[in-house]
Amino acid sequence: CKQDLEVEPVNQYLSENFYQTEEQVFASLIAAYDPIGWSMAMGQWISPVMLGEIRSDNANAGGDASNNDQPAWQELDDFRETNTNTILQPIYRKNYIGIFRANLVILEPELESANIDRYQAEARFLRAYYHFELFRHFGPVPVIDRLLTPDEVGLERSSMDELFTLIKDDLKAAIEVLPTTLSENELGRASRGAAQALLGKAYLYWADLDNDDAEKFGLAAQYLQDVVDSRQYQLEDDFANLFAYETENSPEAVLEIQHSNLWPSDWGWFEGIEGNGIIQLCGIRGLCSDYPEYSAGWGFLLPTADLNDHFLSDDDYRRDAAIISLSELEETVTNEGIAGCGVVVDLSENNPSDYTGFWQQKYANYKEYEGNNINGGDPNLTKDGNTYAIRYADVLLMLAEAIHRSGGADAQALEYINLVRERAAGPGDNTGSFRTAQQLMADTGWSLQDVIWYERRAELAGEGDRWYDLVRSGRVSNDLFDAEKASNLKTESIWLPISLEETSVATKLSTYPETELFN
Amino acid sequence: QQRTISGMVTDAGDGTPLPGATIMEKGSTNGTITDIEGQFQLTLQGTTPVLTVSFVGFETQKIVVGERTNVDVQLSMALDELSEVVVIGYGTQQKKVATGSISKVKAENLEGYKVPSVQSALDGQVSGVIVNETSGQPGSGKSILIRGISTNGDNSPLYIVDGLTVSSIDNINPSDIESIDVLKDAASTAIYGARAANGVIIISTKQGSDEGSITYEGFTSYANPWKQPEMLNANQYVELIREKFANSGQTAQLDNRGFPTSGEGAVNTDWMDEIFDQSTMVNHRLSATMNNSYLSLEYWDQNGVIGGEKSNYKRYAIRINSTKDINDLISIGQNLYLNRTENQNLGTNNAFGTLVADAFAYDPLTPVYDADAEYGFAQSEWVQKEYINPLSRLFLADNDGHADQIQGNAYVKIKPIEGLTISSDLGVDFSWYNYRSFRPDYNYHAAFNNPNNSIAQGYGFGQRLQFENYVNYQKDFGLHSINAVVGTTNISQEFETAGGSTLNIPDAVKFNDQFQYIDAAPTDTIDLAFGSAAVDYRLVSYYGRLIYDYNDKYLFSATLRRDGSSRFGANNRWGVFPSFSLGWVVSDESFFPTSPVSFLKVRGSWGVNGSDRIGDLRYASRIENAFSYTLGMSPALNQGSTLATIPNPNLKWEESVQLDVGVEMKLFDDRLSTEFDYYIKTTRDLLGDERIPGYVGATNFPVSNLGEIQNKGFEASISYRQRIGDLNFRSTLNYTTFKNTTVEIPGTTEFINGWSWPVRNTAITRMTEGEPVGHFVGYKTLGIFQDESDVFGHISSEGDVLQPDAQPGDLIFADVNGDGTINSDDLTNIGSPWPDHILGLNLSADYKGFDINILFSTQIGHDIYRTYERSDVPFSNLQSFWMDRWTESNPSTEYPRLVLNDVNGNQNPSDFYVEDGSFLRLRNLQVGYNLPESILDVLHLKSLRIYFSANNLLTLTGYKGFDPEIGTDGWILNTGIDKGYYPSNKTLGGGIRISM
Repeated sequence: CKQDLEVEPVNQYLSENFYQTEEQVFASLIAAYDPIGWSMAMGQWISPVMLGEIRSDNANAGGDASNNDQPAWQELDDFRETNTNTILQPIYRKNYIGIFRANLVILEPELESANIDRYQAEARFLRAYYHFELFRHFGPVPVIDRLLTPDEVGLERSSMDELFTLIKDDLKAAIEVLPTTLSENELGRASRGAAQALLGKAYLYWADLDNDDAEKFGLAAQYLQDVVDSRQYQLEDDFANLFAYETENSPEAVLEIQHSNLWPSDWGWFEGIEGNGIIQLCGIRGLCSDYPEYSAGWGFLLPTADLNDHFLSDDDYRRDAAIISLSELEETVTNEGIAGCGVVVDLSENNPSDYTGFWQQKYANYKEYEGNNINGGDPNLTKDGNTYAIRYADVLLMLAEAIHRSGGADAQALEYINLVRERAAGPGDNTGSFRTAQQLMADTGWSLQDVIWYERRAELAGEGDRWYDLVRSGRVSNDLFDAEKASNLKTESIWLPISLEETSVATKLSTYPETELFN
Repeated sequence: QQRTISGMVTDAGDGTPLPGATIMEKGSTNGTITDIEGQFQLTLQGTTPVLTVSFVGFETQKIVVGERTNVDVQLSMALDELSEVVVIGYGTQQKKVATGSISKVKAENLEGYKVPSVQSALDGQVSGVIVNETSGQPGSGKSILIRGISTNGDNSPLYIVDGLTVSSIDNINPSDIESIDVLKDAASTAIYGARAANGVIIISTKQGSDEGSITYEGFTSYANPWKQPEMLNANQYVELIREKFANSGQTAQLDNRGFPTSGEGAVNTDWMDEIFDQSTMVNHRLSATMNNSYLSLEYWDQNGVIGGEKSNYKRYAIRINSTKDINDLISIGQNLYLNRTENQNLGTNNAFGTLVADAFAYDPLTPVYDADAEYGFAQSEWVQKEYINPLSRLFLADNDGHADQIQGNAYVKIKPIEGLTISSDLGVDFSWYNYRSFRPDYNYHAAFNNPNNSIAQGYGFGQRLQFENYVNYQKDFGLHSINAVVGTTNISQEFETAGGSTLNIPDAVKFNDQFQYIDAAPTDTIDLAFGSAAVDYRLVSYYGRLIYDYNDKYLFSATLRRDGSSRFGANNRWGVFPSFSLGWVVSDESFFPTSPVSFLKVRGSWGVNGSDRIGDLRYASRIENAFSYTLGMSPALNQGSTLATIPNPNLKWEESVQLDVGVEMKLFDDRLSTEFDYYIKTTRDLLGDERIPGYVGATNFPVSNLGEIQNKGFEASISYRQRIGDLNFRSTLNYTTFKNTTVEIPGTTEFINGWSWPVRNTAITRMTEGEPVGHFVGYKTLGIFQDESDVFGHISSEGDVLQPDAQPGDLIFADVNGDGTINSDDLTNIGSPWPDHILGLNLSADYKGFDINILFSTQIGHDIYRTYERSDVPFSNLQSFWMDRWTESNPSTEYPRLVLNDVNGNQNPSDFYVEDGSFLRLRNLQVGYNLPESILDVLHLKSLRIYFSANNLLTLTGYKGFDPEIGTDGWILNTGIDKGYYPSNKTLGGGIRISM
């Protein structure tokens, strides 16, 4: 009878007899990539882009007219979050799920081959990426570089140094193995350049938070310089084209998160959604259905007037790619004589507290997405526009910053900034006509660092880096926000609390990181 | 030494002699019957003879003869409850000497009560049981809870049909049922040890007799919703929407969009009227019995009150039961049930994407039809998102499918010596289903379109085999009586599916049913195919039970069952489940006075049951294949495979321990019969998802043993009957109450969140230590701010205004934790979905050929969370009670003001949305007439009955939503939440039954 009770798995493996072939290891690597693309998890929207913007002075949460659409996001927008906020745990778990799956690829296979080496290098890249993302949200959290058992409930937060050490070691190991170029059908996988760029970015954060450690800035510069020197990447000529409907995996993409319309994504399984959920979520709410270019969305991620005003008068091209205003929408309707749009945007549908008159358009809800869910699924969740995690312009600006802050040659830093500024001025060659960083400094009296901050906010507006730039450089302050938001800002608000759900099980974890962890 | 005893048997009620009563000497085949004067004479064989005196319809009596030569016996008219036999699993027992808590429902209680499933028929008829509709849709399952909430997982009882464990009894023809025995306490259920923790429902079907007869029954009825929610009409709608926008300073928006200033002249569509319609049900049943065989045929066809033909349940069923004696030693038999069900379903109880939700939200300004619009349905200019014209939703609904089932068993019984029976029983439950659904292309509005029509088609096959071998031994040794059983059971189960879908059937034929198959589409479209199989499930069990009684007075029983389940790892595969029970028939003691209490039994039991209701292989490290990621310039979806859950090799049985004390009593010449039970049931090592630290990185939490739930309850059943001349009157009152408490939750949060209200994105049910399972959470309200001074008077202990953004007319929220702010830490227990009192009252009377039967059922004290109002849809219609909302001129204390820009958070989950769901229902009313024999003889009929039967004719409730009887969808933390419920039906019908 004992034998009767031993049942065999059907159409699936047990981990004891998996990881035996290259195909199986590759499939487990794909599973490790999977969470990187989650825009929802466990019933919540968890886009890191939204977190990086809505917490900052760049954007409000938005949503429906109740001002209570996705309450957790409204809380985060206004610094009202507590450790029971419902998106904390999904975003936390998403990254640790990625780490666990990466660890399986790193630790389980026993076979050896060049392909396995590459898969494991990619897994180490992913493990570093997920740890870095966790750090950006929660500060130092436990470093997980092995397979845990459910009863290991006593882990404490790792220190910042421990966390960045793992990131550094993983990425250096990955750089050794990863290919410099990716073939067409490999696009989206981690390359050597992606690992170098991420390592540069990590060093930049580490240096900034470690009392402006010049040596680490130097290391950041070194790895970012490697990306530039590899000559694998280039700036897209037309800034607006970076966010056009069909632009995917352009030469400017160093690391691009892939989304797909091929899977019939629906509300039944959030982590299975392969589309980019924020396209619908952050589209223009109440937009009239006859509007030529865009479909109506759900009105999240509303750019603030402050962000709109950040763009200098000669920086319109970049602003226009990032932001669209009510008057611009109305102008289009008038110019094109669209009769069906009597009311261009139904403002009664928009969140009156968060409404600014602006909508983001880097993840624009293009009409072209309609009907491209060729395998079915909810059309709101199958919009396949990708997301830049690191693009070359970011690399150039980080490199400039790293050079400058490590005490390197400012002239070289200015050169990289000017590459970005030249492109930002509009399509075609603007050499000679655009205002260089040097001129800008002269006109405004800004320091080189001021220019870098201006550039990062303008170049990367709406792409989810703003809040983390503010945090790492210690620039989060009351002055950035309106009175209500400012009044809620507390010292610990720069980190998300680890949720009560987690600390109630893992009781040694602190809700907010202790200052000692950063020393 | 032989001696003879004589005497007379009379009716204890009126003293008249009883001719034809049987007198048997216990433990022998020696016996006789009384003559026309009720007299008998019998030559005794034993040395300490005991007589059993029995007569149909009367209570059997045992007489210890002693030295007497003459005994006069007064038989009391039997109350069904005690003279009847209860099915106890692998045997039967006289109710009188049973020590467990078992309720019985007999065929006559089901007759004429026209419900498609057995579960519905149990409502109100058995104490300790809650039956709830889960939807008024034909063919939808019913939820049954026996003795409270035993577990956070599957709470449904174990169903046994003629000895066969079945997964569902939804499709059984109720008229085939001879009796239903509900086993409630652990001593009764322990013989089914594994999986019996939620109680056991044993169904015995009709076995036929030697006497030949054939019966036809035909019934038809009309159904209407018992209630239609009253929505705002066009004038009211315009007024309230305008007020809502005005309160947010956004009137200009409405004017810009051309929203009307009044509802005058609008089409004034009542969408509830549009979706609800009278529907019909037709039922034919034919049954025959002859040569110890029973044969029946059934046809059931029921349309829904929403959607008519598209919300339909059809059943075709055949049953063939027979038993045959091969010789004195061996008998064989079989029960076989074949059925086909065709079920057309509409989505129900969901505020997203269902007809009911559409009809609720849709504005009265939009007409139903518009010849120029797609497929002819007008779509609202105001209410959009995933809402569409409800009738266009109905037009899109297209599910064509059926399920076939073979359920039954074949058995052999061998009786080698007196009292010993060896049984071997092979049971099968095979089921097949197939489905085909067509989804047309449509573009109703920007947020609701489907560019490519599609077809999905699929099949599934499941089989369950059960092999049982057991030995019964039953013998009396003088006054000692023994009943023992030992046996084994093997169960195995497998399941397989296959299917696919395709896009783009050519427009010319897309609505032609003949072309709605996967390969009907042109070849250049993308087809998706799938196929899968479930891991086999196996259960091996050994069991034994000993029942002993002395002189039917001192009663004892003990059961031991050992189960092994493939759902647990090798470490903890086996579970052992013991039980004991004792009983004492006090009224048989010589010291006991004979009046007014004619029968008194006290009994007590203790036992342990188990549960293995989790998925298969949950203890193992399974690699799952569903984690895709796209790569490449021409994107390709790559399938990922990984360990999604951390294995838990220590997973073990969930156990529930139950203590039961019961009293059974009959009074006033047995006219009044009562039964009371009190129990304490504790379920520990609950099988559930263990919340492990997120940093472990499991995609899904592992199943583990955690937590503890306790139920304490009291049940009473009181029956009374009276005969006055030709008038017979019977009534039974069943009463149930229980207190459910979550005793322990692992971790330090002391709660686990349950169902989350989608738009609010907040969990509104929880399991919390010290509270009932699935209780509601939300903010506690303290009324409505009537003026500015109220707003500024609502302050914290430090004097800060708690709701600075509030306006007069907004809800006042309590700062429950007193921390000076209203935030999610103030969420608190605001109600329980579990009723405090459950009552069923059955009244019946017959006079000459006429009879009437009335069944009331009531639940008192349960709360319902209304979650069907959508805060995120500004133009959603509302129920008409919103006309009483707060305004300056109507300072309501019940309904807050309407406001679009809800800065105060009136729409946050709060007790404003929680209502008392108490109700009283006239579940069934039946009036019948049986033709007298004089006419039957002329017609050569055995019986002819015509009757009228009505369900849910009357419902009394204060609940404002769709239906006060909501129940659970199977997940216990999703109970009592109204998401736009498909309400119960009120049916009126009539039928005829003819026997020859």
